[in-house]
Amino acid sequence: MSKNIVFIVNLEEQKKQGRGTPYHYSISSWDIWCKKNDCELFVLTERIYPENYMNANWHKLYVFQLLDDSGIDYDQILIVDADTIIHPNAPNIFELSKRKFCAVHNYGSYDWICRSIENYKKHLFPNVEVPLFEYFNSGIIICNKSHKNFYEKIINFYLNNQEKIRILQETYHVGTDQPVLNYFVQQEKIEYKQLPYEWNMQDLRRFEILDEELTFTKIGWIYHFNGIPDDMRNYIMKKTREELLCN
Amino acid sequence: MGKNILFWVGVRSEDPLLIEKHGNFKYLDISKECWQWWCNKNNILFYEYNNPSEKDTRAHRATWTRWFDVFDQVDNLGINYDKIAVIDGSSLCRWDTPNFFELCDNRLTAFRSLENLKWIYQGIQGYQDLFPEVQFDLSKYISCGFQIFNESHRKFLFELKEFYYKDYDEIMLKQQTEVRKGTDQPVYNYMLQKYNIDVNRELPKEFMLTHLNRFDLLSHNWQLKEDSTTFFIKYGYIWFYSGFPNRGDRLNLMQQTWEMIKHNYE
Repeated sequence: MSKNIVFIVNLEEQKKQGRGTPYHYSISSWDIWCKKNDCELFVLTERIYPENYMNANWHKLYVFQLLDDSGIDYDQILIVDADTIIHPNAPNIFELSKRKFCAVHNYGSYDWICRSIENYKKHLFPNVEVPLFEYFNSGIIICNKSHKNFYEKIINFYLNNQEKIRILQETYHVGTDQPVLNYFVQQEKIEYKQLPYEWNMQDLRRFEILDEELTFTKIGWIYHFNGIPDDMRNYIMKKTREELLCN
Repeated sequence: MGKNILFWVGVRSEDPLLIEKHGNFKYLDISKECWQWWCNKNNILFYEYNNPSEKDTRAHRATWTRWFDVFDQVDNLGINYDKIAVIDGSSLCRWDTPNFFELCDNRLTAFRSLENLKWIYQGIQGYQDLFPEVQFDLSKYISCGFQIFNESHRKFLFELKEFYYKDYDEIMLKQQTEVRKGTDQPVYNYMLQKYNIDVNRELPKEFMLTHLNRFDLLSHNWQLKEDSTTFFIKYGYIWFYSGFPNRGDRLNLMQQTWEMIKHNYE
């Protein structure tokens, strides 16, 4: 019987030296959660393309090809960023999906989000609208077999527009795969379910819950350690992982 | 079918502390002008709540008494009504804001509060002993700044009033000394969950933008340099001037907003 899959890209990047240091805390948290929920964890540790052609985030798009190539049968797939930690007692997120494409709204700096939407619209998607409050964070995404062609389209789009996308990334610094994924969901009219904040708790500092008491662990299930300096990320991911293991 | 009512909360306390804290409540003038125009445009009855039943507004804050007075004061109008939106006078709406009454069903309509989550968490923790039977679900925590009721919610607000007067001393101890996380909002939320009130939290987020500075909504697209419209005006319909570091920022920012957009309301 096919299982649900949790897919994580864990690739070191020269441009972000040290960024991946705490990712093993993420992977071990997902490993425990997967065992409790009868899911399979798949971690990508080898590059498909060199970093100067495709950064780690874009490798997430290859999930369907990688699973097929590995001969793994699957039902639903949860694609998660390696800077997340899941609470070991989190309920089974796959049961929330209603078999739709699921993600959590991108909470955080709307200055960054609005510029991301507007800049990518101007340069890549002039005829597509992405409503601001439908814009999602690509750090937690649920998809299934029905989205395989959709992901292939995005890969082809990337390969055909790689240089333009790279320039956009380096000029504006408002995201890599995320804006393109959002535009594709709207363009291809993908049925999309928005999950609550508890399932991708981004920008914890802005919500004032990034503290020594780990208040965020009392509020939701998946902690996304984005928008913070590397040394703080290392510290807080280690502490979170250790405390959740102890309790 | 009766008329829809906007119950606009514009109480000007006579408490010197509150007068100073809120800059003599001058921001209410801007909000009132804005909402009156919108109500007129959308055939909605604008009702100014400025006369609470409790005259001592320091002992009984308007954030509490609004819930106890709303149905009584609307009853006194002697008109047939359908829904009542209760909204803070610290808000403005964009000139083309759709008629949100048309988006509501018969449930109590409110918006999730998702800003300073530590403040919210501590508030809920702090009042837990008043509601030992409630296992609070934080994902259902709502803001009290904007809600839409109908006749079926009269009983709930009556229960809230009963609770308030019965446990007044304990609530005030928490509100003023022990917890200090807002006024009505933590208790109101507990009561919603205690009485299993079915809350519609599905109205689009555009209808309640809060903490504009926290979420960098006061900015504009400085990279494309094609449109200097501030993001909250461009993407939101109703803006709440709350969550600023200084209370005085509210009047200042409401004035600046109004100067930029008031030509649209003529």
